[in-house]
Amino acid sequence: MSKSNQPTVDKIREIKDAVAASLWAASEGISYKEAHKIWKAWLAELEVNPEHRGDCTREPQTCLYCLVEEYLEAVDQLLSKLEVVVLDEDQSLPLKVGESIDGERFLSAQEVMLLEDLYKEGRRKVVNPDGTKVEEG
Amino acid sequence: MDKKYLEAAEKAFHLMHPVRLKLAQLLKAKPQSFLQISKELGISRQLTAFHLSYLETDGLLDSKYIILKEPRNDKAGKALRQYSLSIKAIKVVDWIESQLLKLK
Repeated sequence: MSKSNQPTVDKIREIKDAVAASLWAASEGISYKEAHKIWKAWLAELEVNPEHRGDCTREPQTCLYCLVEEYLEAVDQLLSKLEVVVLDEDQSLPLKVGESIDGERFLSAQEVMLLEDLYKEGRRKVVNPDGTKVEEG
Repeated sequence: MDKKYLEAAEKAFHLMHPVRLKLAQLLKAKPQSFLQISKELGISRQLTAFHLSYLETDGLLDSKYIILKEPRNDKAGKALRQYSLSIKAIKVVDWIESQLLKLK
């Protein structure tokens, strides 16, 4: 790995550790802040002594090393899933006149703007399905 | 390790915040309006906007405008923005939920 990549690698490592701590907090139902504090202490301990502990049976319940490894593996899987959430997808509002989901009719951007104008005017008005204004009262 | 992987790590970090994970689970179950989210999570509107903006920026949310149709309601005809999880995000949250049960 080149030297120029090191800050990115370090940052990814740092974030992965934080995500693992969050996963641990969520799975154990413990405080987010407390979990991060404990996780950091565990990592520091493992840095000094990166070995399996006591009566390790290669299960996370019996060994700190295995527990941390298991959560970091889960984070790797989570990251691979999130990699496919592509940002450059069209994320604009899918506003189509007449489109219906659960019985609701969605508005076009033009209709939304028209409605906003109408409400700004402070008068009760509605918009016909064809987008033309209808005034009431 | 590329930029895309770093972005994925940041998204994971954002999503794994306890409030945002609850928010994502809430939207996975049913699309909700801004005020409904705030009420369901029991947090202020400002905080709701703060957490929603993370998920939205990370491309995990979809949103649509709907017209309220309740009869005899003076809110009828009002446009309302409704948030939901994107299909890809639903799969991610499903996976997280299964992992949480497995890791427990």
